[in-house]
Amino acid sequence: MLNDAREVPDGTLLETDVCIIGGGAAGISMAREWAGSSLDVTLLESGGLASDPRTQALYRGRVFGRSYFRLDEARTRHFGGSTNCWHGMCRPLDPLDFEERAWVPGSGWPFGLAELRPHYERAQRVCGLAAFEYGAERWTLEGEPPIAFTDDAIESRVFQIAPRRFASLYGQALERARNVNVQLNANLIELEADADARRVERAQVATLAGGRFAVRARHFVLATGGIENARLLLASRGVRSAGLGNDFDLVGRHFMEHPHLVAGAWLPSSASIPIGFYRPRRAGEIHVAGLLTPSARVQREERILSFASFFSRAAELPDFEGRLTRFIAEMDGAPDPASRAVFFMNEVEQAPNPWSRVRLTEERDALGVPRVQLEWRLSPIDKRTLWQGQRLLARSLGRAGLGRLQVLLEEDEHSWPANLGGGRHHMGTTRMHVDPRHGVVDANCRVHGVANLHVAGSSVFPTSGSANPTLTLIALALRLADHLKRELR
Amino acid sequence: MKRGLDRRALLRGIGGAAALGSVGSGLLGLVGCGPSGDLETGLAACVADAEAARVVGAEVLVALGPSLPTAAELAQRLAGAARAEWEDRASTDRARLFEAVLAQHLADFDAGRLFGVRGWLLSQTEAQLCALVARRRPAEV
Ligand SMILES: Cc1cc2nc3c(=O)[nH]c(=O)nc-3n(C[C@H](O)[C@H](O)[C@H](O)COP(=O)(O)OP(=O)(O)OC[C@H]3O[C@@H](n4cnc5c(N)ncnc54)[C@H](O)[C@@H]3O)c2cc1C
Repeated sequence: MLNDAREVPDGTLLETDVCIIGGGAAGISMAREWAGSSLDVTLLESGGLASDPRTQALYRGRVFGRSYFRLDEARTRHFGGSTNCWHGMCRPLDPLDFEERAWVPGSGWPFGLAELRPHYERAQRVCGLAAFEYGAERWTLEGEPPIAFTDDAIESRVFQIAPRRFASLYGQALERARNVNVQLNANLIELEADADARRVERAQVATLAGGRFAVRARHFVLATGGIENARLLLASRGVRSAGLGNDFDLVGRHFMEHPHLVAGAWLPSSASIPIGFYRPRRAGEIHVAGLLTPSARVQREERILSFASFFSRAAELPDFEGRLTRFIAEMDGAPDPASRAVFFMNEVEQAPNPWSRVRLTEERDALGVPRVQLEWRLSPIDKRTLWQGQRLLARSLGRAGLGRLQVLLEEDEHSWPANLGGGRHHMGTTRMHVDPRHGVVDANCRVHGVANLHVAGSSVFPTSGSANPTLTLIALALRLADHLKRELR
Repeated sequence: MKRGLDRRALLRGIGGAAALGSVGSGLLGLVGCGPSGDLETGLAACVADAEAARVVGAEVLVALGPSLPTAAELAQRLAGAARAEWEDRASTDRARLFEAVLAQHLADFDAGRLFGVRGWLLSQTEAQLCALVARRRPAEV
């Protein structure tokens, strides 16, 4: 059922088995899991079915330090969440991303890819993607092979791309489900815990029309996105002044993005080297596009993070490059020098950094919830990964006689060029760790110390890999749904 | 060996490069291969498109800084410890000199010996080769 929270009488207490807060990729994926079951599920969604400026303004916040998107432009606050505007580029994490890496402080998930694999397969279906296959072989087209490197430093993979709008895709099914009560225009303003903060008693809800009511549930799932999940825990300070689940001052810390920037141009040695594999192209119901990423071996040896380089644009060659291409065509044995350079967009893993963080400010939004300040901080290893990654790519291309790479970066560990951006991927602020001193949630995404509070979304990622986050966060949300189903049996 | 040599066949003889497919297969003017002249001349003769190499080489020289090396010095740097052998090849069989240059060029990429020119990462060998061409008078190339 889709309901309008503005019609719920003031002071009402709704009772439910599972209360999901946030109707975006994570919340909708979870709610679907219970549609038609015997359990009673309430989904609280801040927005309505369409965008509304007053609701969107609840996302405003301050950006401190490194420049970033305006916070109310970095995500979408209505039913469907940021899937209303996402690009649908999907890729799972790699096996190494889950491991504890000695050169990446704070790395290591409580489980490996094998644990998540069946949930990834389900997440593929939720996202309307093809089979769970991301290797280059599966997606190679006749005459458009991936780059034929002669070493194993850099590997080709693909994105599967399907920018499905979750609200239109699943809204009707949720509307039909009698046991799922979707409350639109319902804003969580605080989670109220019992006296020793071991259980959440109620979710306090407000509407922009002035209404207030509460929800009592056996289990609560916070699924409001990578920044809001932290904001709402920090703002739930009725019992603990530091906020819920924040006994070790971890909530909001370790904010991670995927730094995005064009950092290199590839000058192929031959005009006939095909690059179609790396351009987005149709493949049945979806699109795919190739990408380049460092192998696990090279990440270990070079002590770098992961990154993904993908096609950005091709450009005519200026004068100097015109000569250079003639020379390298000779060196590489190509009869037909290329006439264009190919620019790569790089999407880089960011190492967990406790000083990269989301915190509350004194300022409040229209519903009285403290606004956030985002302080996005990068670490030397992030920059080194980008720089070293470009060198590795240059070496592999040169070694294979496939051309040369231009690196558009300073070779240092601190400076970042002005074209640095993010992917609007908000991760890490309620990180997962088996030990409450190192993580906000446990391996089942339950907030440490709070028996019935769980978090769904990329805020639980301990590390980010270089893959766009949504497929992984949906896989985790489905795994969490399974866990709660068992708990509620 | 003559200009127009099948360089794929030639490359098959280069250690470590056998698997490389077409790398270097169109490289070099390989002008005359008889016993003709010194190392510097032999190296310069490795480049067919001297005009392109000269433009790239001018930038390499800028990147190398104020102490402008002569073409002969660059030839020596290129050959390094293999100088005697390269000189021998230069005077007896330039195709084999080219083999050595190409093998060193590929080994540079393996070992990460790169040289940045306007941000383009070249192998040190090819960068020095271009610089050498740029340091010679056009008629000499
Ligand atoms: C322009 C853009 C492009 C993107 N492209 C990609 C891409 O190609 N690939 C990829 O993997 N990811 C991409 N992303 C990121 C992707 O959209 C997010 O990872 C994903 O939507 C996160 O899902 P979520 O459910 O955690 O949060 P969201 O989808 O943001 O959903 C959160 C929901 O919670 C609701 N909410 C917030 N606060 C409250 C509250 N207090 N009470 C009740 N409800 C609340 C919101 O209204 C929203 O519906 C992109 C994002 C943007 C903005």
